[in-house]
Amino acid sequence: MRTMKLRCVAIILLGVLTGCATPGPFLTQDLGAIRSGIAITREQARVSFDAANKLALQQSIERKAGLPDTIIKESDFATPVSAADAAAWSNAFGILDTYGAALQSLVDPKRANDTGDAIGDLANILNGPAINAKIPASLTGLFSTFAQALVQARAEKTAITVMRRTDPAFHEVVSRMAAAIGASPRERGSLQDVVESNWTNSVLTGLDNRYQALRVGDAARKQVLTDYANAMISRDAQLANLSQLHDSLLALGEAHAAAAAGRPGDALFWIGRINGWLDDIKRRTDAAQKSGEGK
Amino acid sequence: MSGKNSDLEKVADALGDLVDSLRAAREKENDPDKVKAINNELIEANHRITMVGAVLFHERTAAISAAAGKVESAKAEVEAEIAKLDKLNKFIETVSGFLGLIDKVIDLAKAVAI
Repeated sequence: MRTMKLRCVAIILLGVLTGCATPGPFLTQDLGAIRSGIAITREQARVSFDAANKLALQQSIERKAGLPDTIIKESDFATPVSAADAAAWSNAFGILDTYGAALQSLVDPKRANDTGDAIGDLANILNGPAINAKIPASLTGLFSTFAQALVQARAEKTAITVMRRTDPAFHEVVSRMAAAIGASPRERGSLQDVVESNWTNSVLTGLDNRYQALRVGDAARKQVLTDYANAMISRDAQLANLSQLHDSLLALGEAHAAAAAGRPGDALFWIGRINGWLDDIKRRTDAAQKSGEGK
Repeated sequence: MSGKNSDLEKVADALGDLVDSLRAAREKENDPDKVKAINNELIEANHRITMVGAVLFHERTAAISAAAGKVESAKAEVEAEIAKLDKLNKFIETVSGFLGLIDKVIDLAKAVAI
């Protein structure tokens, strides 16, 4: 009779726990997707920084070569993203990733399974000669499952609590990153502004100066005009890449907020968009390099 | 954007205004020498825009690192919870191990008694 009562209590508690627990598989899936989105955005940033620095460095050389002075100074070579800043961004992405990894590990069902197994082993030993508790095998299994569910529910509850509390900080990181990149070149002081200026105020003006030096009928005029058109295409492609990096960063924030709010599917939607954008960026960067940027 | 509150952001704004003025002047100009002079001014302005942009990017990166530090604190909290759960599993395993040892002692005692 006592065993029956215990079994009923355990079944009820198990039902309550299962009902209260966060949908574990969704949380695990969302966290995996967010980590993948962080890795992709990190790569987008690396590609974008390299392209911006390469462009600016080439323009610094073009500018310096056109000046009458005879002394070279480090300040003659301006690049928008220093190696230290690129490393700091990489570190910030690393923090976001290890935070996601810790959450993933916390909600990993293996840990709860281990607890269930350990409880099962303990029950078997309690039934052994030392204590001879005579716990029925059916009840042993039930308590084992109960312990497993209890640990999993606690892990998921903690993960969700931490994610909700951390969401403003996570959002702050990605929003500040997005602001540094800029939504458009009109945001002065942003990386987009610097890149647009290097194309429009340096590459294109340099080509304009070269064109003016050529006489009508000179065959080189056509080549300069071709270079000018290609430079405009490359500029627009590079700015589009930066806009997508900006959007990817904001999408990461949306994905985290969706996972923290327990909206299954929303996080995957945002990460799916980031994933598609990386291919676009690489394609445009390759095309821009082929069209001969910085001429 | 964080708002135009730093001196550097004001400098970036002033450079942007200068470039806009130079571009507008170039559009109206027909004298090739003057256009070239304006172009060279634009190239010089661009160099400053890149330099100011680099310092602004550095400033913004410092703020990003500070914000990332807050996320790192949350990571430590999660790791502490993981350690707690691992400790629980370890405790159960230790109890099981201890009881298992007693079982062996009892088995041995029975064997000796026989």
